[in-house]
Amino acid sequence: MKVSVTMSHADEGTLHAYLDGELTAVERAGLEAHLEACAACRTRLAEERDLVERAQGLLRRAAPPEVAVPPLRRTGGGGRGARPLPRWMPLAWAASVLLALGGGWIARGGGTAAPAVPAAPVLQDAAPPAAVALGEQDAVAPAGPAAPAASRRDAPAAKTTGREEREAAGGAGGPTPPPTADQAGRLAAVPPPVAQAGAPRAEAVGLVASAVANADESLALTPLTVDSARAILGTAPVTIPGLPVRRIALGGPGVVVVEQALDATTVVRLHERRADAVREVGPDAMARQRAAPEPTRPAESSERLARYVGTLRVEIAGPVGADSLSKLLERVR
Amino acid sequence: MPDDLAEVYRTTYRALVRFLYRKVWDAERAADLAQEAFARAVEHQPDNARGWLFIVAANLARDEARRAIRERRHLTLVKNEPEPVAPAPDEEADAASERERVRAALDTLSPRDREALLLWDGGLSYDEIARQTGLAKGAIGTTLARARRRLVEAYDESERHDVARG
Repeated sequence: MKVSVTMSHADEGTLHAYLDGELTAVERAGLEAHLEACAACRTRLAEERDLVERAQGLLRRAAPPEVAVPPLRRTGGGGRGARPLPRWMPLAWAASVLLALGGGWIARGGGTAAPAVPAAPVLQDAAPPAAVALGEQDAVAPAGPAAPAASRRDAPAAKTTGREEREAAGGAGGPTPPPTADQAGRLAAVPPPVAQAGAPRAEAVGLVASAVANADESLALTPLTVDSARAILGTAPVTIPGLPVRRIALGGPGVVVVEQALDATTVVRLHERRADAVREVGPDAMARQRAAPEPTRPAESSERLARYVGTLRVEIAGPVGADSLSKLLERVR
Repeated sequence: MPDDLAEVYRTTYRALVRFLYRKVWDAERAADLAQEAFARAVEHQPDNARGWLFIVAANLARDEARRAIRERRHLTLVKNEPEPVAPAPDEEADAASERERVRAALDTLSPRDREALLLWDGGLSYDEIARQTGLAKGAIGTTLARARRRLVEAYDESERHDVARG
């Protein structure tokens, strides 16, 4: 650091470095000696100190609300580049897993639903639920894999290009106006809060989560802060005391997943939801969720154990025996 | 996660969120991006984790800003009606307008001055800021002095403006 105090007065850079504690001992001593002898520089120093404080004060006003440091979201080990997907990323993979899993679901929606339709855009940006898209497909010619244009127009695609196309058509009185431009505008304008507007997508993610669990346990879930988890559950999420919390994530509509580490490689998941919400979610959804193939981890029990803790219904899952799970579940509070 | 990185996480998380917030102006996105940056640090195990995190965060924020611009552009194409704005409670509205004013004041800084100021506020040393901005270490004090002065002046200007307007 160049300290310019010898000839005349200290320059402002030096004064700021001094105030910031960034001068070396020698520089500091030199400046302080000068300050002792120079009233003008002492005045300057006081002014610069005020300036530093004011600037800090202004920056503080432009700060986000202080929150507790959340547990670090774990990414896939082994550096495969597997990390949680940013919210805006295309979820084509999720859609394809969903399609793979969802044969029964689709069949229920309508006999002609051709699973080959490239429905990837359906899930993006928390656009209308997949079911709507699938329903609409009935009205479309049985689009094969070779008809991406048709499916993009008719599925409520939220991808930029898809939406532009669709909105253009809607605005010109085109044939498929259902989600209004206004709604889409709001979607684009306000990125949905994780727990609320994001729910439709989160639901889909929740459904596929267990299927991809062994590929990477952290891939599919949207991370939550403790506060958002509390907002969803109406109370703080419960945990197994004494085990480090690896992360908290959204496991589906109204479902908070808490991951806790038994050791360096073993993680158990607590799936928590309001006990009174179980019925609202519907037995169908629960059954679907449980029916999703889950034998992806060695020795993971396919049936989750559940118990009620306070106002919450808590299910536990993990790559340990049912006995151990049961004991862990007992300790949840 | 190795201990030192865990420690960096514990001590730097909030500062990194703050740094990101002043770039994306959305608390939730800032937290997401901070998590993303730390996740990458876990993966890459950089030597100077703290400095590295701020570089990654700055890049993430830049990508985010580009995306936001794209979305805004798109929005102007599809938006027909103005958004219904829920009236915020007074206190909240005050805080929000304060924030807006600081944001506008920050926007008047040159990108390099602003970056230096935000990095300093994020807890980086002059050395680290110099490495990150490409400035000489000896220029950081002057840069910060200029940035602080500009910030305060722009803020006061906008306040005077408001008062004059009534």
